Amino acid sequence: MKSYQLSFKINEDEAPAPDSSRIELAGRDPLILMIEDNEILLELFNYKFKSMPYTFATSNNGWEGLKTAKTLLPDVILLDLMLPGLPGLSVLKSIRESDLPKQPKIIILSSKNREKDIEDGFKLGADDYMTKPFLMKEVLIRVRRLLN
Amino acid sequence: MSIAISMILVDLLTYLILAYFVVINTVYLVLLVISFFATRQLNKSREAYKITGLFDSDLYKSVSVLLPVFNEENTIKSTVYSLIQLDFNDFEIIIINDGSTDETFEVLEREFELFPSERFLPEILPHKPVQGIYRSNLFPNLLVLDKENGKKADALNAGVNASRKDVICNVDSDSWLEPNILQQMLRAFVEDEKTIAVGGIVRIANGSIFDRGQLKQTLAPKTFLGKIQVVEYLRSFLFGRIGWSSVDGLIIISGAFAVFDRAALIETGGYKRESIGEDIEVIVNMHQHFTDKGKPYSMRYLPEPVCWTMVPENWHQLSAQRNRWQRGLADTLFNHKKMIGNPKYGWLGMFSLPFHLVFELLGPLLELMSYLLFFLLMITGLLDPAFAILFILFAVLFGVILSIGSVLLDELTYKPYTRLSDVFSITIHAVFENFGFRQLHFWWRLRGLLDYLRKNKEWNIEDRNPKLTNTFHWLWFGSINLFFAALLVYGLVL
Amino acid sequence: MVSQAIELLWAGIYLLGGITLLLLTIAVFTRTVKKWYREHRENKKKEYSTILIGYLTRNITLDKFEIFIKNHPDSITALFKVSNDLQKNLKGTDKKLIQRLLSLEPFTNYYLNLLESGKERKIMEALIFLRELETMTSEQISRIQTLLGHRERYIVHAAAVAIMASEDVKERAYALKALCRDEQITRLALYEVLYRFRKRDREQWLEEGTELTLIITDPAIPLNHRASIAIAMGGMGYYYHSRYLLDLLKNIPVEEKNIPFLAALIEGLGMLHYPEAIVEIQRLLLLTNSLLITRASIRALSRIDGKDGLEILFQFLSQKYDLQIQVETAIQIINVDVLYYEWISDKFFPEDANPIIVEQIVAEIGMDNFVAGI
Repeated sequence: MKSYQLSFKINEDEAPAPDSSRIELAGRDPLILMIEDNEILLELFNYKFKSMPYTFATSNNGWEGLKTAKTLLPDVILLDLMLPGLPGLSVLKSIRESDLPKQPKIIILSSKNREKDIEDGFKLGADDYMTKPFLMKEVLIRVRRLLN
Repeated sequence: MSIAISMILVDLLTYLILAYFVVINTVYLVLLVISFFATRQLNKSREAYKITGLFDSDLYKSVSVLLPVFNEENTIKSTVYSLIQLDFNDFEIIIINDGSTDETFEVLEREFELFPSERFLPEILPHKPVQGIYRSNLFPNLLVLDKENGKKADALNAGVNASRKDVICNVDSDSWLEPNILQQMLRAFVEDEKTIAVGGIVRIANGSIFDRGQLKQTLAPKTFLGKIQVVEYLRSFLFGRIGWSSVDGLIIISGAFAVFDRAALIETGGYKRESIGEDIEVIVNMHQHFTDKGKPYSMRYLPEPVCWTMVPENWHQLSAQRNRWQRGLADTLFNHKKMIGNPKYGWLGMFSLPFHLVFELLGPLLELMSYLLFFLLMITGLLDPAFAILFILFAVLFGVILSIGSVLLDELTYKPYTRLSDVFSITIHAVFENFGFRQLHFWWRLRGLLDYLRKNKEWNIEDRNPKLTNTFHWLWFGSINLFFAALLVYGLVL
Repeated sequence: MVSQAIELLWAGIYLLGGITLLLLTIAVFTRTVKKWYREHRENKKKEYSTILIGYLTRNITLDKFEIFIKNHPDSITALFKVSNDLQKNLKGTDKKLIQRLLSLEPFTNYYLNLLESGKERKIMEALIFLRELETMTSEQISRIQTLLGHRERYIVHAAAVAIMASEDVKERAYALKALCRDEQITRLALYEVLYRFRKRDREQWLEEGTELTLIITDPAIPLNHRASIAIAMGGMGYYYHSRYLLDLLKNIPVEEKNIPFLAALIEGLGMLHYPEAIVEIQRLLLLTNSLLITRASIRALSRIDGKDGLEILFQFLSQKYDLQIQVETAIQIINVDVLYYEWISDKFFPEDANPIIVEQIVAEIGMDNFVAGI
């Protein structure tokens, strides 16, 4: 009777295949990945980061974002928590548990502002937690600081 | 003499059938219109009651999503992932493994890194013993109860006991919920303090494209039975339930997605373990309880919260399902027979329940009798074949109008089928439905009624030979259509 | 006879057939139009978000933007939607820039006109815009205020929500009060308004609290709303008014009709973590055996950080109470701050405590050396 599958896997099939061509790019601009489902916010960030010495990649879905993170090996990830596909915390945990050659810095950027959410975020290995609404400048400063 | 009596009998029966036809269609038409206006009104005030404040969650309704599972090792993973991405501030997921005999629990344990928890499980509602309570290492809001096999109601009761939230939301393991479904259902509680139960639209997932837990495109199912059921579900949810709920005559909220106030559910004794259709029983039981206690309450159907469910696309499962539904209806109506026709229960007692008794429960009997009568009258020459054909055509067209009406209503809802070819195909199937499927459906329901009378309380009646049942159904389906074709030819020749 | 019936049927069939075709045409037509409209809107949204970002990054000046909007009046609703999606996430300069944009005349005029239209759908659209506008003129406010007397409850609610954007505490309190007159407004709907009533600005904190205390003592307002506000005052942390709430709790006579309000005050004081309330809660528990008060007290006592409160809480594990009460108490004890676990483990449960429940508490708190005094 259950002939359908929502085709949902996270731990299998896409074991992080470190793309060797990517790793060689050690001298590249820092790569920032933003996983967020608000399109216009992505666009704004895209614009801001473009004017700085950063490479910027985006994903609007938790699952896609995880995959992108594992193939692109970004330096910093800006992560939303309420995401379609896979919740942000699972993306975070999955990245932290993977054997990537280099763990990215992860900043959670979420409207979840309860104590417990923030606690969970740090527990699972986030480097920083910012709640929405946020100051654009502050995000940029925190990103820069994590990169140094 | 005896001929005269039989003539009178035939006459009586004819009038009865005509009256049945007129009443059922009028009621449906009225419901359709009511529903149209109700949906429009609901859409107007939609934005007003969107709760956007995110402060201290203690002041908001928190939700426990209950997922009873039994032998779902293949689908359980994806179902749980789809629940985890629900967009709501304060919710927990309680999976109740109802004594599965396959690897369901092991799959859960592996995938979600379960570890035993000492979670306190108060014995408020009765259920079979729980062997273990587990939490997930991955998702703090995921809880698994491992219990002895009871039935669905039994599993749900255990879930209600384990819940520590204000609101219970029970879902089926073959359903996929829109991520914002909980926020949308919350609206019922924001609008009306007395809300104790909320339902949403159930739509058919077969055919639509899901990717990584996201609905990518709404498409109609590919099979004949799938499409027919789309027509049925559109009618049943868009004007059936919304219409009935606007006149306070709601008697069922689909078990695929139903929301209850936890305290009200506990007060009414939870899910009835001995009932066949626990989803219908719980609603009627709540009606009775709260009316008897003189407490004001409200049960709502909203057009927005959408739940996608997989429906059977073969004859033997479909017939078993409909058989069960009919037995569930019979069981509930029998258990609450005191309410039927009782003015104390208002519209529900005076109108909705009697209507369901006569037209939904006994309707199949009348309808099948009318076919027989038609046939008899025709071969005895008492009925003009032209009249017969025209009458059938008239009846079919009426049904089609109701179906297209709901396709139009669909326009007002959240995620209609967007492809034009789907709209056409659904309309065509609304016509096809009347030839063959309708008769078989009535036959299943009649069988359900008979099975109930024979005290068959099994959840699903075991089908020993599904292949044979399927072939048999196709044969039946074919011969009914042959009969209609013969009738048409006969009428044309005359 | 038969031929007449047949004729009648034919007529009926033509009629129904006609209706079928008509409905089908409407269905197909609306669907096509909607599809086109949806695609059009998506395209426009992309275009407008580019312009908006151009404005935020100072590549497009405000007056150029204004000229654009004037030339494209159909862009207003889409632009508002895009701006709103963005501003919800931002604060500081970027937020101010968006607010500046939304208070341009083409925007405000468009929506104020909708407000006058008399059509509920349009009024709602306008109110949704206005509730996101942080700086409103007093003229705008007074126009929204007239809607506080609207016959549709949801419009009154939306109007009150919109006025909550005002900087003036008095105006906000006025709208809140107007909304509260309707007894049928739900607790959740009221909380939504209260959530917006509270400004982040500390200077208004005291004034807001005072306005709320005026409402909860106003006899013209239904008791259920006064109770809800008392709870919300706790939830929103009006700590300076704890004393006032406690005085109310002391002075309101313990009568049947006041029970829900008393329970709400207890709940609110619990959320304010006000230790001085414990004595009063204890007194009320002795005076009444109301389930409502008991439940509120259980929650409050577990919240107010203090061993005195917990000590009283333990009594509810006694078997002389309803099983539900015992269960709720157990859950609250389990939820108490972990720091207290050590202390709890040294404690004796009441003599007649329900052994099963005690066992579950011990199991869940996870204390090995727990001494249960049974």
